[in-house]
Amino acid sequence: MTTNKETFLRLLEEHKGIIIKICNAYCQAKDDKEDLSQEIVYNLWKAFANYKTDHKFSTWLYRVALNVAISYYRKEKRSLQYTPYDENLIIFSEEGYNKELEGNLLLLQQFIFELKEIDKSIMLLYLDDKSYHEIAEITGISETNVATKINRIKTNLKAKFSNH
Amino acid sequence: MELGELKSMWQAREANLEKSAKLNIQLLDKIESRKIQSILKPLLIQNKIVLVSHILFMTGLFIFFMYHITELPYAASALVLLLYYVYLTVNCIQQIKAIRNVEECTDIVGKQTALAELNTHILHYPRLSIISIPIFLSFPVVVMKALIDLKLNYFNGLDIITHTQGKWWTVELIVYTLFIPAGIWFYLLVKPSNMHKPWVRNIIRRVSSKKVFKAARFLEELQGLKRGK
Repeated sequence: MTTNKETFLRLLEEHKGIIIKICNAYCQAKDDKEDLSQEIVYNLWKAFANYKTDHKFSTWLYRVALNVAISYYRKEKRSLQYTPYDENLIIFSEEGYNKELEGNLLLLQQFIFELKEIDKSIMLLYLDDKSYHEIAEITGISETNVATKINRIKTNLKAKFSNH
Repeated sequence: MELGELKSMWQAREANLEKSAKLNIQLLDKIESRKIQSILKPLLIQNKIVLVSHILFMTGLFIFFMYHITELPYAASALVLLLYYVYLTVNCIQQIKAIRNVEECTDIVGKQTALAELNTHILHYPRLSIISIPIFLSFPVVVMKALIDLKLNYFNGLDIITHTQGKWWTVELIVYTLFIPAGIWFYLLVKPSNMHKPWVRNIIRRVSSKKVFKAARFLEELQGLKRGK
């Protein structure tokens, strides 16, 4: 095993939560989540040689993974770019995903599913407590536009909860 | 419920899901470190070949233009073709840039814009439909005259301008006057960023596939995001 791969595996293990969050937000079926996670990990590995340490690994990972998720979500026929193995790279716990969500969380999840692709990524980053600066860096939108977007999303979210 | 409270609940749930998921290290270990060829590489090569052929053709057109600069019908026909090919060359360079952006751009809007631009690139052809009409008229003028200049007897030495006793040139002038401004107007208006106009949306919907139409709408959305809409 090369040192490069060891570093990649270590960083991936540390940040696997980000991939899980993204798969959860962009896919509903377990099979889709597994396919998307495989596509994300494959793309991360492919791009890892170009990762520059002047950015935080989580920022870089968010950029690559969200781009893959958006492209995957937009595909009409969801086929993997690269399917080397039958097994899954990330083993999603059946128990964890099938667990019934409580009312408010279920509503939040539904709200996230209904958002447009880019808004969904902004919402995920917001829920992950990322600063406006970091959200702007990941999405490529100016900080002012990020703030406007988040305010709109929050207003819509409040309206959804108050109507419920 | 307060937003902050909801956010904490969400984060706690995500942390639980993260704990229950496992990384298949053994499988990851099997990933080969071989250099993976980009799926866009063939498209990049194709565009580079097209770019070189355009440059060669433009060089030929420029020589023809300079050679016949005092003969208005030939010079004007060559100039119209030359300008058209300058546009095609710029367009080709933009596509190469978009392919590179897909590979190099890492932020979401940048990469998705580059991908949507590539997916909607085919829209350039229907957009060019009106402005292509004068091109069809100029092309035989230049090609036939160039063949005569090169002493190649492909069309029995036929020169369409002299053969039609200048009528072809009159038609060309009328078509230039009508279709060049109309073509430029059409080209500038029928683009994804104008899809909020119903007639533009209808044209794009009619001339493109579902995939291209979706990409055009997404491109419009991305451009709106950059502008803060």
